[in-house]
Amino acid sequence: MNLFDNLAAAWPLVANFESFFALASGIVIGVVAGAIPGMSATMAVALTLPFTFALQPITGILLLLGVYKGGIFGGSIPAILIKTPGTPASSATILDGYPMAENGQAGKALGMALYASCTADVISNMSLILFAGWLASFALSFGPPEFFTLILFSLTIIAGVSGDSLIKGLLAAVCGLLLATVGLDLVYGTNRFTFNDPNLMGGLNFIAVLIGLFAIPEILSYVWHPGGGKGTVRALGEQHVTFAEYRRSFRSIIRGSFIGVILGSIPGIGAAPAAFLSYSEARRRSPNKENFGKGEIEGVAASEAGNNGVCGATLIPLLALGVPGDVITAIVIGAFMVHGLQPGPMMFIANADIIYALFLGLIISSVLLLIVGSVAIRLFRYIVDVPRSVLMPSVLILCVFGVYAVNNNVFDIIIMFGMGWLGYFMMRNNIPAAPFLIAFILGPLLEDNFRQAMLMSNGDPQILFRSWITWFFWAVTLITIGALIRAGLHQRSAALGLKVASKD
Amino acid sequence: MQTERSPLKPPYQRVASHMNLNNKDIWLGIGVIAFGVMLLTVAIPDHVSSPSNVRALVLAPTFWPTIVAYMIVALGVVLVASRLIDRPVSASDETWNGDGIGDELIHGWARLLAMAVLMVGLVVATPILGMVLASMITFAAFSIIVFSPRPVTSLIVAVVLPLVLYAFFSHVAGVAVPQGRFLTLP
Repeated sequence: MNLFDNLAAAWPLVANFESFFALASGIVIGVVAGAIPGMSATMAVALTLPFTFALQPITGILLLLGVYKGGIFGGSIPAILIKTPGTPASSATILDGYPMAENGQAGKALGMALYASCTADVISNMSLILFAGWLASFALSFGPPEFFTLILFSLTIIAGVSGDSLIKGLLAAVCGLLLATVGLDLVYGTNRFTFNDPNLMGGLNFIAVLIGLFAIPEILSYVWHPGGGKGTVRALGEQHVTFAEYRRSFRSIIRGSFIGVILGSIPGIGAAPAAFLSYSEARRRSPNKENFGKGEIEGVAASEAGNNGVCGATLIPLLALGVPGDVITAIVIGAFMVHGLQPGPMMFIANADIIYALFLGLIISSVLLLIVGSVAIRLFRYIVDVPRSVLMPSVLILCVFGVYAVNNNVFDIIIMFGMGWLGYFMMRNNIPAAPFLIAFILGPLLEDNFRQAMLMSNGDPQILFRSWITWFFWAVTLITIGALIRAGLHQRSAALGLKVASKD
Repeated sequence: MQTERSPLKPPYQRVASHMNLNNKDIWLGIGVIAFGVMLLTVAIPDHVSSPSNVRALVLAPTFWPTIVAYMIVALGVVLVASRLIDRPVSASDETWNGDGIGDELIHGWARLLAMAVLMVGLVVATPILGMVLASMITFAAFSIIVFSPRPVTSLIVAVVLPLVLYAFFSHVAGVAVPQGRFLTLP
């Protein structure tokens, strides 16, 4: 079947009230959560996940994708109104969004953020539709050695770019791999770190681990310093973006969208670097470059296009290869698994209808985001004002109910709390949690492919170099490590230079 | 008042916090090495069972955890070594502490301790009181720990939220939410 046949076959799955309602609700939840400082798109997707168990697979996944898209846009609201990014991806939006708010143009900045987000979203979704199928058909020729090297490459890049330090990123990834070994051995069925507890024999519950790592540390961080994170909300002021302003920013929006698509399709890069790169490119090429940083609407457009351009593209490696590109897609992979689906090239054959229904749903979500965003733009300042003293205990209770609902097991709540304290320890020591979680998810896949390769070759490691694909992934892994070490050394010499300067 | 948080700290603070991080990282690295050694000497030999008829070493259930443990030790060593090379000249330079000072620090730790107790309490209380009642008490206790400036709102949400979640998970998602010994909800 060609692309259009597949889309036609998938249309009935998405053309119903449940799917539209799930998408719209997801976008509303995402926008609200993204707009509340202290919440994030990641936390919102993680907390929504348990609510999808009772839904049809396609409805549940569309709900999560709606939250994701809404959350990324919603993050721009506090960035513009109170100079606090709702999500890391919105950090670049502050640079011009907040000065615009100071000039009484917060509504205009929010409007441009919305239009740029929706435009980038459409481009990103189209890229996903065009490239995911092609990549999946290519990946069908992958065997265990190719998948092993691909996952190794993904983990290296995710570990390297997720935090400030390559060593700490790798440490987080390795600890995630260790945690993934808990449970029965994949081949022999013997116990590994189960301590004779039957609760541990199936391994640690993925949802308990992810909610523990991404929601509980935020709660503990608030408990540590309950007075932090307050800011005054700016008035909306002038509210409408003119078509002339949109047209003037259009080149930056398109450029930023493609930057987002390219960076988003590489596992681990994420939305924040895409937003900053898009912003700096827009400033470099703009005739108004001296206005950037002082309230230039093109700056808001560029950064929002960059971070939303990533949204659809991060699903390319997830759907085509089964490798989550960032934490949110790692959560989405969890939703697939809960419903007995395994993303990857085989899914394009076995469950093509679901894949193409998702594509259609994503296109619809861009339109819904525009409608929801336009309607709600006046209410945003009240959303930002939600008191954290009520929000954080609510998040805790949501976590408890959500995690319990996975297996009807109090043990999962214990795991969640344990992971929460570990995540808080990591947060305080600047150890990124993203490589930990992604390694925890990919760990069994990595080990399984390694052992299958070894079984195929009777333990001969040469099989890991058997094709040009494996050589390619080994090469890019080494190049990535080299580049990251070089960047780290540059950073260190800059810090040492600063130290010497401060002594003088 | 506007919250004007500068993206960069002044240079002296950056240097001092960099030094603080260095010392913290050295201890972190030592802890990581100790953890890795513990894995190799105790946890893997005692808690990872391997059958005797394994065809090749690389296929043994112990192989992967052992490789991971060696990587943990290696990364711990690299972390300590990299921070020792980049160590501050004197400890007296370390004047700035990003975590807070004095009473604020003690109160922060006290709240965290109370939070830990609250989490244990929630787990213990759930089978006895039921998840709804235990959650209500947890919410209220949380609000007390952080001295919620909106006690009435907190109290209302503490009662309503667990009931709404119970209604959804129990009646829509079909989850058997623990009821407890004293309160049975429909």
